[in-house]
Amino acid sequence: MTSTTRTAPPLLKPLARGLLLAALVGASLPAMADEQGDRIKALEARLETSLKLIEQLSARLNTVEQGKTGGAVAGAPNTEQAQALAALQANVAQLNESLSKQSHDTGLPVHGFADVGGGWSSGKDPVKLRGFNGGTLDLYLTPQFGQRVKSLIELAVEYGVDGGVALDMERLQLGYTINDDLTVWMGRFHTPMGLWNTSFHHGANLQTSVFRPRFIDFEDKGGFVPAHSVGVWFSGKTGTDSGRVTYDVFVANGPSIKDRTLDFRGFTDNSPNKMLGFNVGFQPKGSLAGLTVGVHGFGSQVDSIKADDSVFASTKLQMTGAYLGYDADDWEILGEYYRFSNTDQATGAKNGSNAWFGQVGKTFGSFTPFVRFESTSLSTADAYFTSQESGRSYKRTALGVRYALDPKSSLKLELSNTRENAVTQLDADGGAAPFAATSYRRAAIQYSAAF
Amino acid sequence: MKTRLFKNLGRVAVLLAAASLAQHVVAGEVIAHASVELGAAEVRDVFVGDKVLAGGTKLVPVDNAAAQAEFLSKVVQVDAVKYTALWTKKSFREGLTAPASKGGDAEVIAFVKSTPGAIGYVSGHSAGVKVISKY
Repeated sequence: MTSTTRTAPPLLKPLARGLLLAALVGASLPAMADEQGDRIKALEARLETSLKLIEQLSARLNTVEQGKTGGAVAGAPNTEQAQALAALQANVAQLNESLSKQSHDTGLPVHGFADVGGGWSSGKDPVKLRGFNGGTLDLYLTPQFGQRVKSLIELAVEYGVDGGVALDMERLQLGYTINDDLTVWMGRFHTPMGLWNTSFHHGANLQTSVFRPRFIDFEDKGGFVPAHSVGVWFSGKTGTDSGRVTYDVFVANGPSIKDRTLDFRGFTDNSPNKMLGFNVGFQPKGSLAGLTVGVHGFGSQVDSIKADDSVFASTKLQMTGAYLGYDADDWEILGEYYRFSNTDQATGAKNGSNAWFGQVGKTFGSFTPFVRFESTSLSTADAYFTSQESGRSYKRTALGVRYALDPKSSLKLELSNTRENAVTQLDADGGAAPFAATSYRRAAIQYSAAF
Repeated sequence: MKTRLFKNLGRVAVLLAAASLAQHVVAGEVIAHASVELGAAEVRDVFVGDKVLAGGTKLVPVDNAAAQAEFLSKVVQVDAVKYTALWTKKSFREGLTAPASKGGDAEVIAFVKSTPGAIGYVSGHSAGVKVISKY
């Protein structure tokens, strides 16, 4: 008799807990991903309090029922009540299952980088630093569309040298993962040359320095190689006993030069000559872990175009080079070399040029001082360079320090000195545009964050 | 005198053996959904984004906030700061999404049980779920 009356609380307790849990988790379903942690903690606290209350109520109910029945036999459980209980338990189980499945669907996380800064530069610096600047806001999304389909969408909002704000679709690439060793991307992507361009790009907080090496800067900011491409990109890596081999092959719209700026042709390409490129790297294991060495190259026909769309020069661009990176034991070393063997399509003349940079940094606690050397030696007869406003031989020495405020933000200081050679360039219509030798100094600070 | 010496030596030996055993105590388990076919040697690759598929199934790694430090130290062999930096770079360059983070063992087990391709880790023994390796 006594044992019969005691069966009620054990049945009610899990049911009550289940109902409470169902109500609580049901209420938490629409919560946003960022709020889930806090909400779960609050819900757990509420659950704990409620469970205590339920236990108290169950104990009291037990006492009341004992008094009511006066020790009478309770008899067989009510069938209707048992069915209702079973249905409710099934509902609770479904809600739990549903919650588990939804918990990894955190919506569409937005990542990004932001940087602000300021600086000063002497008269001939094309960047003309004189005070503070708003920097860049870079937002990117990585939505996944299923087992193998993924994407990378990146938007950048940045101030130009003229103070205007520009919105750029930095990347819009859809990928298909064939296997762990190969992904095929299509769309607009960061040209897989060297290491810097794909590793850092607009992610200011990822790079140690304030500025990119000038010759691989963005096309509209002084870079004279295509930092962006639109086409198809095969990218992958495979492990070997001694390390990992990385590889990239791409075919993209062939760039052209218009208004003295390299245009990677983001929408259409009326030239039949597409750009082809590759990048093969090796990352050894063991004592050399952290090292990356590789070779890279690209080629295309590049037309220099007047404002009326007529071509005033045509160059067969052919670049091959090598790179090195080391990121271990608090050392950060980066070096890239580009060798150009371009051919003037009108005369057949070959023109050799080269460009390189090397940067070394070492971390001491939160501080990473660094030094970088950049050098370009460009043929003055090569229309690929002389058609571009920044296509001049130069040397730059930069040094600075990055202070990590925390893993996601940093303060940087960079000082640099640049010397540019005299050269007769081509203006936007192919006319002579003499440039006198110059030099300038620059000091810049940057406050950057990743989120 | 000799007996006392032997006793002390015995105690030292027992202590040394206990210390040695303590170093090999298993701290946790790497668990996965029943659909996941994966070797213990591949676990690190999954959590650094180098392995994204297993037998045609997309892997869904999930972190366990309560057990992360030990797992990162023993299995991934990086600290939390480097792990975060690694995933920031990985996400930016390759379009991968960093593992979601769960609050503790119970949440990880519930997620892994109900999510095809899921792989996680717990601080203790986990009954009723596929164990890939122990660390």
